[in-house]
Amino acid sequence: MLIHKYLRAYTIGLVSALEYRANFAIGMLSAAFPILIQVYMWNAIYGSSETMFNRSYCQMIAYTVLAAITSRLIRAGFEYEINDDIKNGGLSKFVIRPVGYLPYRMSCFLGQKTGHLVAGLLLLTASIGIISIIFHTAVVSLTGVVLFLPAIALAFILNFMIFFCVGMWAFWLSEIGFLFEAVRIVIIVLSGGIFPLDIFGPTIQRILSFLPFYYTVNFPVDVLCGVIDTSAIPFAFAVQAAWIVLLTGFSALLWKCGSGKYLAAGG
Amino acid sequence: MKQILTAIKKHLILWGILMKNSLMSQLEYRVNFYTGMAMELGYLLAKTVYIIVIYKAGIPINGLSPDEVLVFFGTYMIVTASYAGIYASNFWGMSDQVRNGDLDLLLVKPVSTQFILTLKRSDLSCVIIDVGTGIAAVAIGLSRLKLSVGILSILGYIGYVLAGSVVGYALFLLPQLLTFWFVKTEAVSALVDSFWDFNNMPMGIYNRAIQSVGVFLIPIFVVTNFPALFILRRMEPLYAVWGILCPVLLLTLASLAFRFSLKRYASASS
Amino acid sequence: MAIIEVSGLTKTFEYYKKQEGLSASLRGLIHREKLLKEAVKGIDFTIERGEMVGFLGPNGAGKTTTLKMLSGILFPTGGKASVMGYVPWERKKAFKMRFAIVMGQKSQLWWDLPASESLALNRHIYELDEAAYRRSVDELTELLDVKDLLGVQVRRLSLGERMKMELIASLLHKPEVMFLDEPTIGLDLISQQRIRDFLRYYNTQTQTTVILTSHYTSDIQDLCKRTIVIGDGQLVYDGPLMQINSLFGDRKLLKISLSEPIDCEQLNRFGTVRSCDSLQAVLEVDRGSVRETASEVLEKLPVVDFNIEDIPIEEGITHLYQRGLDHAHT
Repeated sequence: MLIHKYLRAYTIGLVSALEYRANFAIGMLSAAFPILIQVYMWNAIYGSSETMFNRSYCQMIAYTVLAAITSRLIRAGFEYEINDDIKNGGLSKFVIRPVGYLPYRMSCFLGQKTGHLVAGLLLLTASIGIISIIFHTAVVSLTGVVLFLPAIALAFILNFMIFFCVGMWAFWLSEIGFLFEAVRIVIIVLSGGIFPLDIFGPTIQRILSFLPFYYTVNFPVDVLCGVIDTSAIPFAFAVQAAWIVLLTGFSALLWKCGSGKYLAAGG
Repeated sequence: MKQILTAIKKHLILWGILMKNSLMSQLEYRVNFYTGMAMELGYLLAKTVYIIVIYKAGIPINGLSPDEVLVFFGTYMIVTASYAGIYASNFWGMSDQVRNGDLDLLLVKPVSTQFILTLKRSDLSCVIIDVGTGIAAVAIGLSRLKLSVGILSILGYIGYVLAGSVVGYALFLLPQLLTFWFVKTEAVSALVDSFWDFNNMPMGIYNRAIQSVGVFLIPIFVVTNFPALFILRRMEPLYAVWGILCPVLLLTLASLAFRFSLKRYASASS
Repeated sequence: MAIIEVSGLTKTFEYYKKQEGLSASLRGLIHREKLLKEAVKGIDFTIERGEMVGFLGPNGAGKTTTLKMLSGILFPTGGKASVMGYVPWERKKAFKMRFAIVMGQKSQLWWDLPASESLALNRHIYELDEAAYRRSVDELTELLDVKDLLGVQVRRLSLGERMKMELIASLLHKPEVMFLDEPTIGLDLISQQRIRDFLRYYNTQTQTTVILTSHYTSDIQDLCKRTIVIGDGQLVYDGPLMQINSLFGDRKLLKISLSEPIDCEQLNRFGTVRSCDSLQAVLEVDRGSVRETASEVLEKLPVVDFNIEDIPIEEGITHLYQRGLDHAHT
C-alpha cells in the first residue's frame, strides 16, 4: 500500500503545522497593513473614474483583499526543508528507500497546509461577505465560487511544483543565503499577489500569461470575482494543468541530475 | 557641553568602526551578501509596482501628479535604507541578545548601551541599492516636474531625510522594547515591519483623520513624507516645525523608555 | 580601605511556573503563577586591593549572580556593595572604565573577524591612545603566545585561543578589578594550565584585584590564596581553600594494595574503612596517628604498596554545601 507511506508523511506535516500555526496567523495579520494601504490608494485613484485596469472600484478592492489572502494561503516555504535535506544528508533515505521524494514532500505540504486551507477559505468567505455588505452588491457569483474551487486546487498544486523546482536548485548551489526569499518576492509580484497583472498593460500581461505564475493567484481570484470571460476559463484550466505536468517533468529531470550529483558526491 | 561633544565624537567614531566591521563580516559570506542584494532588489520590485500603477492610471492622486508621487516614492526608498540597512536588523536581533545574555557584556562597556545594542550591525548592501534607486527616482521625478531646486532646498531635504530617519528609528524601537518583558516578540516584529510601508504612498491618499494620527500621534508620515513635501514645496508651516521637533521629542521618549526597560532587565533577570 | 566591600547583598527574582500542554499555555495568557527565587541571600565579604579570590559553589549557588551585581549588570534586591568606591549598579562611566568582566560562555569578539578588529574596537570604547594600546597588545599577546593569531578569524581559533583573546580584549584598558566567570570552562588541561599561569603572573605583576569563579577546584586551588564558598545563595566559607578539610577534622587517607585477599572486617580496627575489595582498600585515619597506623598496617597485613593522601578538597566542599543547605532548612 504505497499510499500509507504518504499518509504518514502527511501526518508528520500536520503535526509540524501545529507549531507553525503562529507563523501562519502572523502572516495573515501582517497582510492587514498592505491591504489597508492599497485600499486607500485605490480610493484615491478611482476618485475620478469608473473602471480602470479592467475592473470596477468594487472589483479592485475585492481583488486586493482576496489576492492578499490567496497568496498567503498557497504560500510554500518547504524549499528551505528541501535545501536542508540536500545539505544535511536527509536525502539519502529517499535515494535508498522506495519512497518518491516528490510525493513525500507533497504529502508533508498537504499536511502542513490542511489547517491553513480551512482557515484561509473561512477568511476568504468572511472577506467576501464583508466587502459585499459594504458595497451593497455581491462581489462573487455562484458560478464563480464553483469554478474557484478547482482553480485554487490547481493553483495550489502548481505553486507547490514551482517551489519544488526552486528548492531543487540547492543541488547546485553550495549556499542558499537569501536567494529563496528574493525568488519568492518576485514570484509574488508576477503572480498578481500585490496587484492584478492588468496593471502592467496588455503586452506584458500577455507575456506573463505564458508563465505559470499568473495561474497561482491572479487567475483563481479573477475566476472567483467573475472578472474573466467564462469562455476563457476552460483554456486557462488547461494551461494550469499543462504547467503542472510540465513542471512535474522538469522536477523529475532536476531530481535525476541532482540526485546523481548528490550520490557522486557521496551523499 | 564639551563633555557631551566628546561623547558624541567618540560614538560617531565607534559607529564608523562598527559599520566597517559589519561590512567585513558580511563579505566573509559572499553568497549571503549577493543574495541579500537580490532580495533587496526583489523588495524594490514589489514597491515599484505601486509606481507602475500610478503612472498607468495616469491621473493626479489627491492633487499629486504621478511625477510628484515618484518623488515621494524615491524619498521613501532613501529613508528605507536607514531602516533596512542600519537599525531594523538590530531591532529584530534584540530579543536574541536579551535571551542569550549577550546584553550583559554590552552593559559593562563605557559606551551608551542603547547605542551599541541598536546600531551594532549594519547592512550596507541594502543601503547602496535603496539609496541609489531612491535618488534616481527623486531626480527623475524632479526633472520631469521641471522643478528647479537650489542648494538650500537640497540641504533642507537632506535635513528632513535625516530627521525622518531618526523618527523612524525611535518609532520602531519603541515596540521592540517589549522584548524586555516577553521573550518572544516575532509577532510584534512581523506586524511592525509591515507598518513601515505606510510611507510607500503619499499620505495624501488617506483621509484627514488618518493623516493627523500619522503625523502627530504615531508620526509614521514624518519619516518619509515630510522630506518629499518639503522638496515639492507643499509643506505647511506647521509641518515644517513639527518635522524638526518630532525627532527630538521621539528620540528622548525612546531613550527614556529604553532606560526604563533596561532597569526592568537588571531587576528581573537572573 | 578595601577595594570591594559587600554587605547583606541579596538578589531575588521572579519567575513563572511553566506548565505542560497547550491549555496551560493559554491559561498562562491570563494568569501565571508567580514564584520567587532567592538566588543570593545576604552575603558579606571584603576584598583588598591586589587579592585574587576564588568563588566556589555548585551550579545555581549564586556565584554568577553575585558577579553580575558587582559588575552592575543586575540590581540587587537588597544590601550594599562598593567596588573601588563606586556603587556598581549606578553604572557610572568612570566605573566601567576601571574594571572588566570575562564570562567563559559569552564572547565579546566578532565571530567572523580577526580578533585584532575586536581589540581595535575596544581601544576606542575605552578611549586608549594608539601608543598605549599597541604596548598593551604587544605585551599581552607575547605573554599569552598568540601574537601570530591576531589576524585569524575568531571562528577559526580553538576554544583556548579564543579565551586568550577574550582576556586580552578585557585587559587592554588595564582594569583595576577583574571578574572572571568560569574562564577555563570547556578547555583542555594544557589550555587551562596556560590560562592559570597567565592569570597568576598578571595578578602579581599588576596587582589587579581578581575574583574568579570556577567549578574546577584545581583552578582556584592553583591561583587563589583565599576562597569564598557559596552554597544555595549563602556564604558558607571564607578562607584558604586548603583549610576547608580541617573544618571536618584533620583526616588523611591511607590507600593500600595487598598481595593476597583479606577479610575486610580485619581493617576496621585501623580506622574508618572507606572502600575494600579484598586486594585494595582505603582507610580514613586521624592525621596525628597516620604514622603509627601505617606501620601497624604494614606489619600486620600483606601490603605490597601504600599511599598517604589528603582527603580531596571537593569532599570538604561538598560537606560545606550540605551544611549550608541544612542551615537553610532549619
